[in-house]
Amino acid sequence: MECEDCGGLYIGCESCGSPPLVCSKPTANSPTIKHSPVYKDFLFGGNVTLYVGPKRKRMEIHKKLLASISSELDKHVNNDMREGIEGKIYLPDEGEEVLTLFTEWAYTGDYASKDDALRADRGNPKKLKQDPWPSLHKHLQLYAFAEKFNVPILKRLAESKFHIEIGPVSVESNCSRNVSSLVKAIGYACDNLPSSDPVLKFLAQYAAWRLELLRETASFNDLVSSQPDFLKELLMNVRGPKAKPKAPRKHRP
Amino acid sequence: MNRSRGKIRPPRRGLATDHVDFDEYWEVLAQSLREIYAKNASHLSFEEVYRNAYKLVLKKHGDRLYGNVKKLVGEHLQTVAVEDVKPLLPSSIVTGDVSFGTATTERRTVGTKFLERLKFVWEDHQLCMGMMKEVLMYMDRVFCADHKIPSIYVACMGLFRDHILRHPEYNIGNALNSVIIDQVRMERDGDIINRATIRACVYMLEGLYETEEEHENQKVYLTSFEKNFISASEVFYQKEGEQLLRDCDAATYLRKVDKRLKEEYSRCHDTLSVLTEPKIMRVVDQKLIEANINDVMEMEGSGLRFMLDNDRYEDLKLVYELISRVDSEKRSLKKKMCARLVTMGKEINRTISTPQASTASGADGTGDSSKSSAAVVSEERVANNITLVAIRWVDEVLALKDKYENIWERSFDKDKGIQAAMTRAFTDFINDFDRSPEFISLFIDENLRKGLKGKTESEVDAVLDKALTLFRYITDKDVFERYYKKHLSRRLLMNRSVSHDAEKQMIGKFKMEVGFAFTGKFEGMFKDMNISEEMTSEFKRASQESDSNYKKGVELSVQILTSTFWPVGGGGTNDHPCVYPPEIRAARDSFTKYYLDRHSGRRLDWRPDMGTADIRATFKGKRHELSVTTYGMVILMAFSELNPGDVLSFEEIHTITSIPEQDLVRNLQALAVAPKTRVLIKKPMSRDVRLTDVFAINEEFSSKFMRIRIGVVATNRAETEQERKDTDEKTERYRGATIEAALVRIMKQRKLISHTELVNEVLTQMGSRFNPDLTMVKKRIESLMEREYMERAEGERQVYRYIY
Repeated sequence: MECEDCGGLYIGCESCGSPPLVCSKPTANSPTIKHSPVYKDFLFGGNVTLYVGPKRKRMEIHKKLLASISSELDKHVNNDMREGIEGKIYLPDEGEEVLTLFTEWAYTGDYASKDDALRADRGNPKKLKQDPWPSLHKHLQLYAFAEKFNVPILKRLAESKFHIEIGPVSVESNCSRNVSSLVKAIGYACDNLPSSDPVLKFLAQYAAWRLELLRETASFNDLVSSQPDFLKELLMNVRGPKAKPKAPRKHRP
Repeated sequence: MNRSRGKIRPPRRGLATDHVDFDEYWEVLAQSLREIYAKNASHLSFEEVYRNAYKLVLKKHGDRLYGNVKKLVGEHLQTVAVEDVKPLLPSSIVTGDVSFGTATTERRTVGTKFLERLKFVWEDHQLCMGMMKEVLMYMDRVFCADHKIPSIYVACMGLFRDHILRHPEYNIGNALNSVIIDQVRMERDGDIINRATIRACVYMLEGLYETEEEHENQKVYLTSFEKNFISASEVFYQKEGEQLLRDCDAATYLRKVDKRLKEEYSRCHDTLSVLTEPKIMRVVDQKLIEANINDVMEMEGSGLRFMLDNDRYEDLKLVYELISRVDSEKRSLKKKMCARLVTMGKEINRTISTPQASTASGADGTGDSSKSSAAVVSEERVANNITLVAIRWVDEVLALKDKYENIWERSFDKDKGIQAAMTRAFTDFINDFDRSPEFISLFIDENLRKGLKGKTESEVDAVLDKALTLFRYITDKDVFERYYKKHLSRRLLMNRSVSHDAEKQMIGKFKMEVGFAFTGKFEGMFKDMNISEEMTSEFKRASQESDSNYKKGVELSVQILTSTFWPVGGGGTNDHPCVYPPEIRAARDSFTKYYLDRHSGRRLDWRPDMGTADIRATFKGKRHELSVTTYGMVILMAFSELNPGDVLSFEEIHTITSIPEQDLVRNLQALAVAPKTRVLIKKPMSRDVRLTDVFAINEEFSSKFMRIRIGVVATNRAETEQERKDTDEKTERYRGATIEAALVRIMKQRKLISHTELVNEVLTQMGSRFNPDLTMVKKRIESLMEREYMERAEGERQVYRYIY
């Protein structure tokens, strides 16, 4: 059955003829925008089994949904190699949590990075100050996932969530936890994103902004010494002393 | 080994960078790519290969990965070139000793095998590269895009080009070109070849480019194959053109060319590439059409002339279509067709004027010092014949026009340029014939007098339109106007016109065509007729009221003609002397008085030569009403006073009536010679009226009709030689006056003008009416200077000044 308004599929009771409640045509926010297959196709298209992480946690996802998200994922599902033949995909490098959030996004068009319990307490945000970094880290992970499998919509969504949430975070000298979390985040981004990525550039600027705090920590110094590209980017954002350096007193004429 | 794997596998978020050992990852990848080549991909894990490539790129090993893949593919292709392609390389075709050594079938088999192998190799390459491209997607998207280098697929296509087609030793590309060209040649010669295989190889050439930028105009197909193909085709069609010209007639030649065009078209679409279509078509156009079409059209007995004369619509259509391909103006076709058209037209002119010339000279030969009645009558007859000739001329010209218009419609796609050329051709030969204005007017006259009876409105319209199309071609519109006026006046005065509506329709058409100036006089003539009718009935009423002056026996009907509108000649009673019987004279005087009372300052000239009269007469107790000319009436009235049996000689009649001799002869002819209306008898009996004849009332005359019309010979007919001379003179006079008027108008406006400007201005102003003769214009200028309307400006010889 097709919807009269948009040509999408009805999800309604066919036998009693009661008016359908939902029109299932994917909207612009939906993750299926690229190929816009209808849900019916997903439902009858079968599943593919994912074995996620080093522990090979088994997950199921609708095959056609996954294939519709990007050409890279399509090729993971539909190919003449093992995956295509067996209907199994091993994803040893991905985390369960990331896959869960990704699946949530794939089916709903959005994902929630905070726990429900924490959300309930939103009414009184001042009282309960949450640690923002686990959530920010999830955004970065999803961002990297979207980069790996070429899912621009998810990439934009994760990037924008990351920027919204990092905005109010204050990295102050009195809060060493924030500093170490920031360094960790930078480390993750350097490891999992190509060096030309805008988020890396942003993080370099961010680090330059709080350079005075960061350069005193060992972890940051380790990071900088192992990530030459990041160091280069950081230096682009560092202004030197305002005045011409003077020679030490003993060398002055 | 084990330790390092453990180090890589789990995703680490530590501060230290994951270390990636390139060689270890590459080994896995390379093995996978080899498996793809070996068609063993089904046991590979896409995810693993993708992940490995991803890792290498992410860890900045993109360039090494890219380079290694290219190296691997290149090595594979080298093996392919040596092991798969080389053994099937058809050396004989490449070296060129094709025509003698190898039989066609053998050549075809060898060539096809080679092409099939290349097709296979290419398709395999494409297939494998497609899979490799997919597993290396991340490298293409991130590494290649960031470094602005061609994608791995494009790069490997380039490798195919370099390692297979441009193999430094075997020159496979050249062999491929030669084989395809050889196969096409076989097909052109009528053999059947394996189009699909060639098509596949062409696809390959089209899918490869000279550079990795893949510019559309840098396809290997274009840069390496097409050039050779085109030049080979040029040689082929050059020869074919020469041979066809030698062996075929025009129609066959055209069909063969058309077939070749269609073949090349479908070859481009089925076998080669559509990119080649315009180029190969150009070759056929040049070699088969441009080079030879003129010779084809000139072919004796089958060329353009034959096709035109025999209405070969299909062949002509082909000529048109083929010429259109090489010349949008179709110049040579236009030129040749129009030449034929003009020849045909002049032929019509010639056959029409030849017999007329001989009879005319015969008529002249009878002596012109004292025009005998025989001469007059025979001249009449000639003139009557010429009316028929005129109609035949118009019919033939119209038939010619129909013929060519038909060809134009059916074969020439109603081409505007050709239409214009045809119009020029018609104008040429119609104006080449100096009697055409007269003939066209006669044709209209004939139709308006009798031809239109029983025709529907649209049929009438069609006839008039035909006349109008011919009218358009005439340059001397003023000459036509003169004739038309003359013919129209006769129709009106003798009431011979079938339909006034048709007359008005015709004038309306002229008006649309050349404007009011042209038709003003015609319309004036109609107005005169209407006014005359009113005048007649008013006069009748007035006469009846003042009964004393009204003679009951004579009923006068007048037609008052404004002399400038009507072509009735100089006028003056002296030109047309006639002594009226007293009753008639009274009626005439009475009307003259009546008219001049109403319109003082006008002059009335009576024209007995143009009027008619109805008179009652009794023969053998039976009353008849005779409708005769005014002269005829005057003659008959001369007899009415005589006793039965009395006679009057020609001389006596001439004295009594003073009707001019020529008119008298013509009328007596009608009254005494024409068999059915012989109310007079002539002695001696003969067919001609002579000055010595004697006449009497024919007491024996009888007729079953009450009303008898005794017409004078021929109403509207072609002009006799004499009349034509008069008309020409009149035309000359009229033109002179018109030119002078224009000259004065221009001078008055411009005051000072150079000679050339003045002449040009006159030519443009006169253009719609006639083509002024340059010497005439010059003469008129001289004359105007003599009469001091204008003068030469001082100091400047070529400039005139208007004199106020």
